[in-house]
This record gives sequence, C-alpha cells and structure tokens, in this order.
Amino acid sequence: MTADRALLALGGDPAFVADLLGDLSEEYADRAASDGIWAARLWYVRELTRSTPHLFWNALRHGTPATRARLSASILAVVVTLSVITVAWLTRDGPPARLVVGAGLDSDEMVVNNVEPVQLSMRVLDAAGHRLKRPDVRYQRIAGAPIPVSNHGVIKCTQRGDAVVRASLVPLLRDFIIHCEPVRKIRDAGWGNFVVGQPPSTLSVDAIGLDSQPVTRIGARLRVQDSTIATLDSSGRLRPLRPGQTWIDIEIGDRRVDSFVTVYEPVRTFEGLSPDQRLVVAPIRLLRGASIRWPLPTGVFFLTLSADSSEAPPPRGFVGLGSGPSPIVQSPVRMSVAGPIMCTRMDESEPGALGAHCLSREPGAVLILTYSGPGGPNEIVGSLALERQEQR
Amino acid sequence: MSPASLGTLELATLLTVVRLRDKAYGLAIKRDLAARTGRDYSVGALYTTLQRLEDKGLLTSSHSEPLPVRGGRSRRHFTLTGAGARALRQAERHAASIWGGVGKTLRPKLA
Repeated sequence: MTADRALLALGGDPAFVADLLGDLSEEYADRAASDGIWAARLWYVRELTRSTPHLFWNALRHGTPATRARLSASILAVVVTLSVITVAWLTRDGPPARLVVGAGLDSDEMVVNNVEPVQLSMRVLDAAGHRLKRPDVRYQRIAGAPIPVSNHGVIKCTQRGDAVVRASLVPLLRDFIIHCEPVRKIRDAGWGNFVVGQPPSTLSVDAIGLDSQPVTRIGARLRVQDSTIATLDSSGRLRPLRPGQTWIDIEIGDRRVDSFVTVYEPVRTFEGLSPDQRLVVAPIRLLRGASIRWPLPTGVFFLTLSADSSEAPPPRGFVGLGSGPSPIVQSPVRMSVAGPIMCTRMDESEPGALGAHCLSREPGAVLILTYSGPGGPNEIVGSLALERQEQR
Repeated sequence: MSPASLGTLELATLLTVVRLRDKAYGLAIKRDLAARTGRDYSVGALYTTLQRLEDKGLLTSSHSEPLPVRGGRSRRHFTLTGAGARALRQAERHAASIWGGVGKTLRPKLA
C-alpha cells in the first residue's frame, strides 16, 4: 500500500501505522459497501489527511534520531516549498495590461530635451501593476513633425516640434505626444538663498535650444547632494531643512549643471550668536533718514544686504578699510562698520544686494546701516545675511 | 495518576475501553466515542491518545488472531490496567467533588 510505505518512510512507528491503516481499511470497506466506493475514497483521503499531524507527532516522539532528523528535514522542505510557491504565485507576472508613458506618472505627453539620440521611456505593467521586464514594445511616428523614431523607440530630436508616436505591444496600443525641445545649453539655473521654515520654491532655469532661443518645455531630473540641508519634492520644489550649503544636480536632456544652494537660519539680530551659527539671516526695516547699529560677531564672515522692494535703487560703492567708522558701500543704503573690524566690499552677486567680506578680530565691532539720499521709497524692507567662514 | 493529568479525550477513551471490554480496538472505540460525544475524532488523534495512555501505564494492548476473512488482519485490542482503573475512580471522585453542592442550584425551579 502506498500510504503504508510513505508513512513508514517518514519515520512512523510501524505498529502505529499498521494499526491506524488497518482500522482505516476496515472502515473504508464498510463505507464502500454502504455509501459507495467514491464516498468511501473521499472519506479515506479526508481521514488520512486529518491524521497526518498525529502521524508526524508519533514519528517525532517514537522515532530514532535519524528518523527525527529526516522527518524534520521533510517538514522543513514542505514548508519552504509551499512558501516559495506562495510567494511566486503572489508575485507572478501576468500578461501585459498597460503601457505607461514616461518614468514617473502616466501622461499622454513626453518632453525630450536631448540632443543626442535617446531611448523613449515606457513601462509595461500587468493587471496587478507589476512592471514586466524586457517587453518588446514597438514604436512608430504616426503624425506631426518629422522626428525620427526607430522601431525600438530611439528618438533623435534635431529641431523643435511635436509628433504623435504610437507604442504597440500586442494587444496593447498607446498613442502619445512627443515634444521635441532639444537643449543646447543650460545658461542659468538655481534658487540661490533659502531660509529654514520657508515654503518650498520651484527651480528657475534658463535653457537654450539649438536655435539659440529659450526652451519652454523642460523635463529636468534633479538631485540634491546633501538631503539633510534641503530636499526636493516630487514636483521639483526645494524645501530648506537646516542651515548649510549644498549642490543641486540639474540634468536636462543630456546637459547637466550644478546649482549652489545656501540655507540660512532666521534670527532677529546678530547679537549673541553662538559659534555654530554659521549661516544666519535677519529682517531689516529702514526708514528714510534713519540708521540702525548692530553688534557683529568676531571672526571672518560675509555680510549681504538684500532689499525686498524692487523700488530699492541699485547699489554704488567703493572699497573701504575700517579704522573707525568706515563706509563699505555707498548707495541710498549706506553700510558701514565701526570698531575692531576690517571689511572689503564684494562684487554684486545679484541686483539690489550689497555685500562685504569682513574680519572682526575682537568683540566690539558694529554694523551701521543708514538710509538717506534722494528718491526711492520711504522705507526699505529687506534682509541681512551673515555667513561665517571656517577659521584655520 | 492525578485525575487532573487526564485530558477529556483520554478520560473518554478509558471509559470507552471499559465499556467495550474485549471488543475495545481502535475502530470500535472511535465509533463509540462518536456516538456518545457527537465528535468525530480522527483515527490519528485516537491512536495517539491510546498510545499515550499505554505509555502512562493506564492501558495495555495485545493483538488478536487474524480475522477469518481473506487477508484478514489482526486487531489491536486494549485493556484497562490496574493503574487505569485507579485513575478512573480518582477522576470520578474528583468530578463528584467539584460538582458537589451544585445540583440544586442548576435544577430548574417549578412554578
């Protein structure tokens, strides 16, 4: 009998197995006579299945060490096999059910900024949303600008234009629009300065096409190098997290640039700054004819005054060395220092900003901001940033 | 043998062996248990219990002569041992003790 051999092979006690199977056979014969052979077979299989855990337990309790080891290995093998089958079944790939355009969210449009030939990004999903590997999708340009598209989806954008491309993978078809906007150069990109707690802001980028005209549609890939200082959300907006400086890698088509980002800590004044407060920014409100005096920390640092108002006149200045009150920048807003400090005016980094590089040897240095001169608004609102440099 | 160490199925099996006397073999015990308790224990569960009771010394077993049919097998018959009988009496006393004084409370009141 097969069951007999199987149960003994598993290590069951021969007497136990013989008695158990003997009783099952006797009952089976009775049931076959009264209920029919199929009902009896069904009962036999059910009873044997119900008894299996007890047979295993008997073998483990009464078997030899070799038997126990063999049985344990058998149980383990069954459990592992069932687990593997279950996992494979749950994660199995089904037939192609959906073509998804692009690497991110599904869209009916795709922007191509590459100058060099590039593979179109298309994902093939099954009904459960599993991504299928090595799908053999075919491509064909069916309308629009004469943009060369190969059967395998390699596209070469030699000029601006829009084309409709059909992707097919039997039985699926998907038409989508390709916006060819090849970028020759990224001229300017970046956000500049941020303050912790500010809402996220979007990248501003100035990309130039092959025809030397600005590119209007851009598909950029962004990566922040130090994500403890700032992060990028799914819309490409930068959120400042803590004071620091980091680079943002910006990739548009096959062009790549880095943008430097500084995140400042907001403070009310520069008084009482601790040594680890390296990047701080304070708000400034300056009425015409008034001046403010702020104590400055010791060390080497940059000072940058930025006016929020577009009415603020552009700065005009000259280099000044401090030994007593000494002007650094001369403009309607006058920035000067007093005390044991020496400053040099920095070149403008952006319109409307005044900058200075200072060395303050000991406490007592003071920054003086004065708003005077003709024209302009009655009040200037802005911010004053301080960036400490490491002293070696 | 402490009565507390006898499980429900063990106690029922011992009582069935007593009741069936010289006809106490696996299948007969299973049928009797099913008829009296309303539960259809698997053959494996029953034989595991019988084997455990034998290991405890409460039952002993012997094989009968082969059945007088073609290919007839010999059945394994079980008999209560002296220790088994003591365990049953102790279980009965234990049950009576814990049921003591409860009868009137559970008896339905007549209007």
